[in-house]
Amino acid sequence: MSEPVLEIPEGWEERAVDGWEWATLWEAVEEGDHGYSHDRVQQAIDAGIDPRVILDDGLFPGFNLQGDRFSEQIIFIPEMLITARAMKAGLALIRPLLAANDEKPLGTFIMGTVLGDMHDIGQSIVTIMLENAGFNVINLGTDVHPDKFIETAAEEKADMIGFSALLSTTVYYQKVTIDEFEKAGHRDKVHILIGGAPTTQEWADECGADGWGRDAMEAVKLARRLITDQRGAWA
Amino acid sequence: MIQNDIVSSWACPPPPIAASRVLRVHKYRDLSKIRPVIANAAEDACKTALQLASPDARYVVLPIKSLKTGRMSVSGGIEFQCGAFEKHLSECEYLVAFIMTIGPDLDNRVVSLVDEVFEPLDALFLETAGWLTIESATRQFSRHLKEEFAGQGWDVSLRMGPGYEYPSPDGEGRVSWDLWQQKQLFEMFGDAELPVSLSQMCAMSPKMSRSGVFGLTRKTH
Repeated sequence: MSEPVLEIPEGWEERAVDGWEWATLWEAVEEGDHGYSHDRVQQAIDAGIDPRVILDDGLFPGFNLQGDRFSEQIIFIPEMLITARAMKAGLALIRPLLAANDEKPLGTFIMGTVLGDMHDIGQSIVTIMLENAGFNVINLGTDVHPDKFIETAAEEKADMIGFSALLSTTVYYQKVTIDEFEKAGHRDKVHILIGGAPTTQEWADECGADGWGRDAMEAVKLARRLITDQRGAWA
Repeated sequence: MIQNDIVSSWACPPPPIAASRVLRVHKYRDLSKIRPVIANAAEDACKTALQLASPDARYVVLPIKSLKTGRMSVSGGIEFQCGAFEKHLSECEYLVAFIMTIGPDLDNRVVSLVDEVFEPLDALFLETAGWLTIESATRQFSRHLKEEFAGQGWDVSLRMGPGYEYPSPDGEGRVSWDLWQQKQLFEMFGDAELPVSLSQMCAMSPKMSRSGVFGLTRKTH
């Protein structure tokens, strides 16, 4: 097992302003100092640095470092969550600027817990991580009817859908919902990921999902990989 | 003689949960190496759980009519199925069904910590502290039952519950007690007003709830 290291974005000095440094922001995101993250991002905006540069050069290095440490099981979900909070503090400032520059998110991801299941915390953590990774996430909450997933996916021209389930009685609704996408003629337009305590890769294969996220960071990796895979276009 | 078919209540003060237990759930083995921000969040979650949790249980005792080939019939026409019954409940004459909750306040605070104030770590730790609280309260409840029934000449079996898995009686693999049978378990309470409701998909509300059964066997000595 190798200790992950911070990947310093090549040529970052040329994209920043004279005398600028990102190291303190990388560390703040890594350490989960959301107050500093917010303030430093605001300073970067005020200094006239492009919001995309702030995201890529300022926020992502610390977030990616922690993601790599999580993958190596050097850190656990709690550290990822404080990093996510620091990341979000900065993202909240630059997201409107990215939108104003017509910068597109990585993709639109509809997230929810399937019909009958009221469990929330797991899918909330996945939502946080996906947002931080650059996805536009629409979280439909818990106990979501298949029709609601389909309706929202069509309205938002979604790229991906995530179905969470925590009960052995509700996990079947992941398959039911996938079948409903098929019946509605939308299955080829979206990537469908599943997750939750009773789920496995075998179940993902059996129910016709495109992928299974063992945990929140796996889900993010999977989403990042699958988003490059073209699907059918929404009308 | 067991007084059956009467729904009884039991409550206890919320059991304190050690932050180290919350941290261990989240894979922290060496507690000396945990960052203070993480350790403090776990401490705070345990304090909050202690303030918000209010353990409250209902239980009812019904005679077991028959138990054969993983099928158990209980008075009132209620039937359960699980391949592990014979191993755990074979000599039992009565079945004690219980439902327990620590109330909705902790559930609501977890939602608010995610959706309103965005403190996901606090939410995660509070949820964990909540589950540990209800586990601990369930163990206290089990001790209470043992004391109550010991005086009447009965031993109390291990706890079983729908949705859980048990070692297979043949020693190979595991068998599950289908979560759908929560419905029958709740039927054992008849029309009694309960602090826990069951959804169509057998999810309990408040989420921080437990259900299950104990068997009663006649003491042999």
